[in-house]
Amino acid sequence: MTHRRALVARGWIAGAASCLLLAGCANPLAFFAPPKEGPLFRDPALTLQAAEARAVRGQTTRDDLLGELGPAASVRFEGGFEVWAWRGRSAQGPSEFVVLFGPDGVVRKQRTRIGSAAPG
Amino acid sequence: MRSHAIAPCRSTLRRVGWLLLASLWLGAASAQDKVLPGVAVTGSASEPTVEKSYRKMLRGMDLFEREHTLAPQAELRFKLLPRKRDTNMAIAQIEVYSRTVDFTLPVAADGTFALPRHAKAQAEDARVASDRRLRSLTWRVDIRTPGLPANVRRLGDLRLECRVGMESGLVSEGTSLVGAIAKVFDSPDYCRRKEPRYYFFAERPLFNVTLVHGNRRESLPIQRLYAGAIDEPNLARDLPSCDCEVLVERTYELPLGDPGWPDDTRVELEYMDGAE
Repeated sequence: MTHRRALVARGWIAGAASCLLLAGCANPLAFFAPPKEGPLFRDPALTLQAAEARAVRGQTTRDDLLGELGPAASVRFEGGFEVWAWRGRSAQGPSEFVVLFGPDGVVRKQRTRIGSAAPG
Repeated sequence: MRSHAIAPCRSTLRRVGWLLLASLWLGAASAQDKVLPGVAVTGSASEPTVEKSYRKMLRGMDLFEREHTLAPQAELRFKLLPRKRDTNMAIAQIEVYSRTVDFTLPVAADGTFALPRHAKAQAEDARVASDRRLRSLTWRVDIRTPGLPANVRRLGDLRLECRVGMESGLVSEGTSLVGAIAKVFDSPDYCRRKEPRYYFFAERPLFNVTLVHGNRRESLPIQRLYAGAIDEPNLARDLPSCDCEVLVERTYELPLGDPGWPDDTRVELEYMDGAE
């Protein structure tokens, strides 16, 4: 490869991978993920307040919430904790409802965010 | 005249004689070399260890002094974090070494250390090294305004952490081609983006991060936690190239370049294992 071609290739790779490389970012896809514009829950009529009431700390299980709210995006960590996130549009606008499950599969915490559900 | 004609001849003979003696001696020495007993070499070849550029880290310190108004009451330290699950973080000291300089620095129990200025080390392009193997540590800057609760950071401190960290060249992949390309973007200006993908690491696994200034409170969207893992089902495949490799649940990103959040904004961290 000539020096000039190497520079061009390096620039393209650098540009395409800049998100990946900067600060050790390993997730370029999330940066470009489309905003979540659909309903927040499987039942579009279900409100955030109703969802909050269904996720009872120390009691509600993953299967319970899956049945009540519908599928969510999730992350499972070493040690068994899981974070589930329902994102979309509620009556208050773009929102997200996030639940933390312990290793026992039971709700530990929940939180609601009302604002932009879009990344960046 | 006759004596003059004879003298060079004697001196020449003397020279030849010395040359002959010298060659005989060298030949003998050479013969001796050939019969030297073998030397046994014990021990294994040393593994490459984690190192950073002392000069770059000094540039980071220079930037900290120029931009200290972002965190006027804070001091600058550097911090070591694990990058592999089996990294032994009981690191007692860091070494600064160059051709004629070699000294060690103590590392505190929280993994932080201060870097002194040393003119000769700087002139000789010293390295700052730990004895841990390559890519087993993640390096960060630690700038903390004193007096805040343990779960609260100050946004101005974190803005300066990003800028000093980038200037210090702490975020890179080492000698790989990927790392070499990354170094092209090692610039503190990256931190002025509205939402740069600069990973901060909390002390423990996070559940929520909330920015607070006056009456305004706003939680980070979920994709700004955990290195964006919520939208990346294949993150595990990419983690080896991320300095967040074993810190995903502690990772968060901030709107560093958003002027709507002043420097004295509180960044409140809620942990997975904390009380509500």
